[in-house]
Amino acid sequence: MTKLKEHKPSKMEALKAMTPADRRRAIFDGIMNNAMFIIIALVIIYVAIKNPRFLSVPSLVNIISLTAAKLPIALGVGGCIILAGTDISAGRQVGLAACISAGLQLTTNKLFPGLQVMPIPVVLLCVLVACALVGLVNGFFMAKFKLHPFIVTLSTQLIVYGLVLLFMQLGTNGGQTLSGMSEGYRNFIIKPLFTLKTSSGPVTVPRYVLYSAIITTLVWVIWNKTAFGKNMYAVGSNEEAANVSGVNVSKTIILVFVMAGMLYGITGFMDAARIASVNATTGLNYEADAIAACVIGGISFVGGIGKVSGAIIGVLLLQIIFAGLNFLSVDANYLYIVKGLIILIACSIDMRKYLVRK
Amino acid sequence: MEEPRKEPQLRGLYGKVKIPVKVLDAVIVIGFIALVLVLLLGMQNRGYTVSFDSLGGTPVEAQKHMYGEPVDIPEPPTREGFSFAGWYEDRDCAYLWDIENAPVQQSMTLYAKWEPRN
Amino acid sequence: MDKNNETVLLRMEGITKEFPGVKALDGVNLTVRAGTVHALMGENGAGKSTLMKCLFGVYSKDAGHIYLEGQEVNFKNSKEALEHGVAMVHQELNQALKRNVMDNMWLGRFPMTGPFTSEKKMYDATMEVFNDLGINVNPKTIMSTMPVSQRQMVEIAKAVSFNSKVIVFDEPTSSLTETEVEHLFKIINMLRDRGCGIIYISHKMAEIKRISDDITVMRDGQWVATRPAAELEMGDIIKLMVGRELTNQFPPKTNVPGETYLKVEHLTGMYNQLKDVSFEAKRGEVLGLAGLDSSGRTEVLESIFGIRTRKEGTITLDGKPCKNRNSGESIKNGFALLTEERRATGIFGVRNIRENTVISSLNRHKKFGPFLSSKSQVEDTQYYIDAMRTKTPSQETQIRSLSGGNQQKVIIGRWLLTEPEVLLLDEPTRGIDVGAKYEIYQLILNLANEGKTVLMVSSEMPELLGVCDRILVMSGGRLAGEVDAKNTTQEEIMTLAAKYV
Repeated sequence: MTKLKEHKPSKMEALKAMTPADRRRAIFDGIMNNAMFIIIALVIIYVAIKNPRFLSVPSLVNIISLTAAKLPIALGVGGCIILAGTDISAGRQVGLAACISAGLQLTTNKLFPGLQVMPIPVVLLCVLVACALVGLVNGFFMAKFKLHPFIVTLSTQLIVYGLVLLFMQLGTNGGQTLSGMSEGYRNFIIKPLFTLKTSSGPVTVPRYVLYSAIITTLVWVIWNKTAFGKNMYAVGSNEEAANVSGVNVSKTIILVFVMAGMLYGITGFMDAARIASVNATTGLNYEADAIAACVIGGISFVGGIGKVSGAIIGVLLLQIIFAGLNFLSVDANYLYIVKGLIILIACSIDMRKYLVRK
Repeated sequence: MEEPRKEPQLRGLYGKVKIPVKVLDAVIVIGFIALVLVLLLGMQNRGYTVSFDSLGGTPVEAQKHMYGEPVDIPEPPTREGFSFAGWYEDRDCAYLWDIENAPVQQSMTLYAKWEPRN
Repeated sequence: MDKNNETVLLRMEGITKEFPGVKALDGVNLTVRAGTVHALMGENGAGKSTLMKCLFGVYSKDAGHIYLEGQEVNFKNSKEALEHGVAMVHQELNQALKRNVMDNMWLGRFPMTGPFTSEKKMYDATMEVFNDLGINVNPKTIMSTMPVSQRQMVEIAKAVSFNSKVIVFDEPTSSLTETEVEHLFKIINMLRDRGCGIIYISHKMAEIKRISDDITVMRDGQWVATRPAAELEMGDIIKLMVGRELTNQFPPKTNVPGETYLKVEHLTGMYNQLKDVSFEAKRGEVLGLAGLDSSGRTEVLESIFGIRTRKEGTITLDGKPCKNRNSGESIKNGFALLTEERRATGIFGVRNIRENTVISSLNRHKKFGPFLSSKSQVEDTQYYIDAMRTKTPSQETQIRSLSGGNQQKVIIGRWLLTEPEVLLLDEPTRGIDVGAKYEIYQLILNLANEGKTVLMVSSEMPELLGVCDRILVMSGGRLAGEVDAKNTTQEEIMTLAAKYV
């Protein structure tokens, strides 16, 4: 009994060819699976009506800039999710990176009294090494001890937080917020890439948007054009089959988490200059946004599924929602509830997509 | 012998959970209703609160504003032996808040800067 | 015992069950009289477990009737069956290992005092059943601390506590010592004397002859014969189990085995039952591995390929020793392993055809350093789609939407791309329709013609006899014998397979 699959009819043709009952089911499935996008579209329309400045150029540029800033962390977590895992230490790693970046580039350094502002490449290297090490620990315990991703990354999350607290106590700082970073560093990150002339005045697009774009492209190449990327998808899809097929599963897992760590490091490095004031709570719960963005964007918890474009869409849509609520003057505290609900709904839709097939 | 098609099961981080699709549909719908309710609730209590911390001077009342509005300039607070030097975004008084023009974008606290009077 | 006087406890009549493309059961009859032990025998895949699954409602039968003590019944699940007095003692016990004996016995029907479960009542009730059956186990023991034989006793006691009239035993003695087997038989005899009807599924001829009153043999989903145990000898049983006509469904064999290429010596498993397995395989030869389900055939292939730990044993390829410590090393040495369960360990379900095809041979596509060229991946994949006539709308289709046969072809294509010299195939045609099977046989014979060595595990006798040159027969983790496919018979293979069971 061999199945002969001929020319696949287009969706419209298929819809017309169905019985009314099947058609209703197909449309229902379509709505449910894309429910998140539909609701977001509705929100955008509503906010735009209430406050037309939501769609103005400055507002859009702001949304895009924030998306760029939050993209690397989403890509890092995305890789872990594709591996059928997760990484809840992401936020704290970003915090660690931000604190180190700020701490080495203060004009008056209270952490290391007398330390001159370190050159940018050195700082970047420190940050990448620090976070890569955390990633190594994550990957190692997951690969060799087969511990559940939640357990491992929860532990590293706590350890990293402790390290950050201790770091901020160094010298004469005593845990205070770090601000007053060097001009050179701040300019490197936030200096305008180019300026748009608009009716509401000049609008600047900061440099970090470019950096983010470069990093995203690099991640795309790694995920799609290298053996490592293919191995990542294979292990996430079916770890045992990957092992039989000759993939070095342990090495792949460790490398994914190390790469994620480095992406968190870059995020923290850019954020310290962007936010301009860094303390021990910087980065708190960043992973929630990142995970929500990934699930919305189709990077599924079942493992082995997900694209860079998905992460981009997910982060963008989340930022649009948050900006929209901001424009409506909704108190920021409501955002927590909104984020939590979005994660639950997005996961349910994700599960549904995977379960329902013809 | 063609093996029977097994029911699709969730894998990966979802574990070997068996949830009927109808339950997921219900969760999705209920989730959205909850989301809309929360947003409506948020819309009821719209507005951002701008608080003023005089850092030792006379108290200044907080204000409520919508997104994009500038703050209403309040009476400057007074403090024995000091003169008021403006409202700042942070406690260390490093970032000046342009109280005449800058629009309110979120709930915030403004801090008073004091210069000793000699 | 006057057979005509005994009441019929369970009658299954004309049970038919179809799955897409195949009749798993075709009008099977089974009658169990009270106070008898009725053995159910047949090869792997004969339909014994499918028949039981129909009885317990795990599968819904397509046709036929089941009568329990004269009343027609149609159980929806094991719980319902249990409540009506039909119980099963599974091969893989379904027990809550962290709980104690009492909890497992009374799960779902805890004896209560008011709204609370009564420990005392549970203990007393448990001891009552245990004393009745002569079981010496403390009801407070945690299940995981007890040996399998005792856990099995608890399972039996549970069945009895439900006042089960029909009790099914599925391969009960596979993990028991001789003393434990004796104890089990004592209990079975006791149950029989009480008027229960026992269905006993097993491959162990000696036991069957000892304990059963009637024997039913099934083959290829059909009922073959039911006779009193006294009338059948082992040879008769084997003949009934395998006596099918060998139709001509295989491509012509033209391969000529050359000199010895692969040598496996003293292969012993670290965590499995393999013991001192040694054999040779030639270039251009198709070597079959036959045996019962748990005889260790899969373990042999996995140990050679390096994904199962070896305690002892050497592998030599063309005179050169191969350590094969992991899959990567084995692939480099020229080995390929097609696993038994493609859904579990073979396919990357959500990935597409191309990704599934190229995953083991990514080095072929490296250009400009570590970057992979899409063009060569597409070419390789298309080559094998065409060569194996895999039916798929495109390379981008998710592999899990393909039929079993086409999935298998994709995985075979994956392995051929690694350019192996030795192919280890574990049940390569399982779950595949007839047309695709023929194509895979053709493929195997082509590979042999090219001088490759193929080791093939199979549970289908006709397949082994039609495709292989020689056949190794495994039994209980040991190599029971080696036969020539041209000169042997199904009976001979079956006899060897039962040797160390």
